[in-house]
Amino acid sequence: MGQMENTSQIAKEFAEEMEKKNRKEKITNWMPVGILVFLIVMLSVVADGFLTMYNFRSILSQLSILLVMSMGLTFVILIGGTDLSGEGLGGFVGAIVSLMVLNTKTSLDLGVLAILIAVAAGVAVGIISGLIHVKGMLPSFMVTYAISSVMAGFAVLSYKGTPAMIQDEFFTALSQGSLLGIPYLTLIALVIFLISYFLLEHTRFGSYVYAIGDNEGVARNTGINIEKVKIKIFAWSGFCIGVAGVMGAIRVGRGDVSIGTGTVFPAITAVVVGGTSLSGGKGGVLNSLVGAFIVTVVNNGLILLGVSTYVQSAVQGLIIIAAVALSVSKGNKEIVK
Amino acid sequence: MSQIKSNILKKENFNKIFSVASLVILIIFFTIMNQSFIGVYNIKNILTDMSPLLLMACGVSFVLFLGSIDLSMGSIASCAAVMLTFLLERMGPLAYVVVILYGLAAGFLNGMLHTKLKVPSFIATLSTQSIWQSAAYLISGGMPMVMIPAVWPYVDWAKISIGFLPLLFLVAAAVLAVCYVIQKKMVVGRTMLALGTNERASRLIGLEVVKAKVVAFTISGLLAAVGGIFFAVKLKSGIPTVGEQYNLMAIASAVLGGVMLTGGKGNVLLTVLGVGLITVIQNGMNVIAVDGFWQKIVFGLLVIIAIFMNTDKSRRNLVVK
Repeated sequence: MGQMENTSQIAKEFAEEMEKKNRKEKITNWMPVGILVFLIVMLSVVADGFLTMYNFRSILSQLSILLVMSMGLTFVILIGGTDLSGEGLGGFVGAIVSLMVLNTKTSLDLGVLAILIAVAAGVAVGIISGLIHVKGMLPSFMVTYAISSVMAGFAVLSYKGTPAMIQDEFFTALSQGSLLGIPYLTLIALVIFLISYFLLEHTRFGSYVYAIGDNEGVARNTGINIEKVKIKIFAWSGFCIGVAGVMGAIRVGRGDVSIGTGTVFPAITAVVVGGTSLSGGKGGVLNSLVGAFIVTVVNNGLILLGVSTYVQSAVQGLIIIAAVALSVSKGNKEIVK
Repeated sequence: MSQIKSNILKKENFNKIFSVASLVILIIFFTIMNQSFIGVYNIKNILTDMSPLLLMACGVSFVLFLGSIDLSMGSIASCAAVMLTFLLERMGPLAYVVVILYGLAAGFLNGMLHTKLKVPSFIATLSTQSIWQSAAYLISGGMPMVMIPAVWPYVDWAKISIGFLPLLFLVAAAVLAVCYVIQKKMVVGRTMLALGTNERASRLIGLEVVKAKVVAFTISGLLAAVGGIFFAVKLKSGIPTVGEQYNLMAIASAVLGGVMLTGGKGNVLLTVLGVGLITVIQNGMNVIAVDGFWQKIVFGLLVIIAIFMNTDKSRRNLVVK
């Protein structure tokens, strides 16, 4: 009898502890949303013209490419890896898509097919990165860093000197039009977000991503084909970078390699600030959506406050350090490389 | 047993042999393509070009010994170059001291962020990279800054050479020698290698792990800034993006010289091999007039090949992130 009481006592304590932990986790999970709300309230007070319909639309427009970039990165960061190839690869995809639609440089006019080919190129490079990372057992950030350099070179090589200007009317329409007040590019980004959400939350692939990020050794022992999943993840990241590259080309109207420049760092910031842990296994695309909004709102606010654009990336640097420093475990025994 | 040993030896030396062999082949190739490649003038050129990269490769080696990485060197160098140009006009030769102090501080900051806040080194240095890049743009206003003739006397030392050895190269070689002493003879240097091999064991035997890490990042920052000084005095100008591409090149040089990205292995002296190889490729491409974008492609591939050859693939269950 006494033993029974004892067991139920332990069970009760355990339940209480779990509840406490859950509550704490819930608070941390909602932290990014709190930060976003706080930023919006703050900026509405301090920055003139922040709380206007016009500015809301421009935030949505600025959000689009960042959101797409961060969708692919979320998957990679969830398994504890990184994909730094966006700068070069995004530039490359943007460059080749401009060369394949109606443009000032080549006689090609493939229209929508050009987009498909360009995005497919992004996927292919993503698969190559994944293969080198998995088969060569090389750290992902190093592989993708090098791939970025290679693809930036190929981007310039593709147009030899001066980038192609896009003359296709479909593209110009995409860059300027909007539906129900939401710019087309943002709508595309939202579609990519929904696909990402579905992939991550409602498919077996998605649960494998979490399993690998949580504990790769265990995931391997349960029979998950880790290599295949990882390559798929990098392919998905390549897809998102490809879409972002095409969107970049649509926005600036020409296929310059600089389309990719400075896109990766904000995307990593968005993912991390949204609460996805760099060590993997925790977070998700919803987090990245909030993170992307935070980054965009901060940048938008800085512009409205008249801060130099050069300072923006420095601010992102500070945000990312703060976010990571707050989220990493402070255990003394932990080995951080 | 002896066969196993010789196999291990072969494997470990593969990168160095690869570097030496490619270096020789490339020198022969470029000489055939253009005779002036091996001329005294071009050799001087190559040695001058090598110097900043040599410093940076040497600095990043210490960080790589830990199994960590430094992605901020390029922008620290850019920022140092711009800073020197900006300050020489205003405070004369004292500017050198300020820039060197800046390098120390920037490296120290990386070390503190990494060890105290426990931020993974690649993300900490990626963040500081963006901070220093912003600083470089802010100081220069986004445009290259040219040194006014009044300050030329302070930078003309860069043109001095003894025989066919430029002074810049001699300085870099002297720094390399000091780094070799730090790596081989000083406790802090040996600790870096020890903790790169096994951090837990190093802690248990009471090595000063945190100190070694901070020192490694500080050296890396310092040498990046000195590299930036070299860029500035060589070009008599401060370009806010001058260091950008050198980060990857520095890491590639170290790896080609046999430093392992997983930590614990390498020799700073051998970075000279990787630096030599990369500079010869770069210079040779210029001499035979290959477009600049090919260089990006070649360097990117070179990094992948070099790391690929350098990793231990025998451990099947190794988790690589």
